[in-house]
Amino acid sequence: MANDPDPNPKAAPSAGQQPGHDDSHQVKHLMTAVIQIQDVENAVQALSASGIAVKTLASTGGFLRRRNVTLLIGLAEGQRELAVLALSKSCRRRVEYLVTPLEGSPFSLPLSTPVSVGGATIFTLAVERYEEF
Amino acid sequence: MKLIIAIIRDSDNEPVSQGLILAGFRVTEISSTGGFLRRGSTTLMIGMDDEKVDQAVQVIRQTAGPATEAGVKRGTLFVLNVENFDQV
Repeated sequence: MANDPDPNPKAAPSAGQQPGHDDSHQVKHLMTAVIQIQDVENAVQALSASGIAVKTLASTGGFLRRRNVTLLIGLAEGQRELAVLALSKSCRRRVEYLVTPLEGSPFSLPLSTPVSVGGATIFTLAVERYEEF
Repeated sequence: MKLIIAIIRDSDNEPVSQGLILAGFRVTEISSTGGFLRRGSTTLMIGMDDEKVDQAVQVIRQTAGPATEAGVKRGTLFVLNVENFDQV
């Protein structure tokens, strides 16, 4: 969205925490975050700036059938707050107007329904075993 | 909080999603492909409170159509424990 301020400068201070390849960066949690398509670039950038790698999957919301994106994020111990912060800065909640035709009317008067879009729905799951090769 | 990952046949996507939404669940779909037969399948992610898991499983079982071919499963469900749930 054009009216969203760029969230990335705020995420930058944590850029120094790049993951090492030692045991301290063991993936212990899998985070799945469902976000809006228009937020993907900002979210991926904000997460990468925090040193967190992301995979994206195309998905669809069940209710409005809108396309959205599911992010798969592997997290080491203690990175969860960092990831939630990055997502909360990059995926803003906003109101959009959905135009629905008025049923039963002889005129095609469109009816604008406000819907709240944006934000992120985040599930964090425990990872029993993680391997990288 | 639990997360159900449900792998169902593409043809069951519509009734199962509708059934879950009518029952008040929130659903995210990912289209996926089975590894063996490479048929199209749909993966649903459904988050819910612990005590609603049985109800969600019931809805999925009831709304998925009958088995059409012998040996083809109607659904595969993984119920996972959610350590943290955030909505921003």
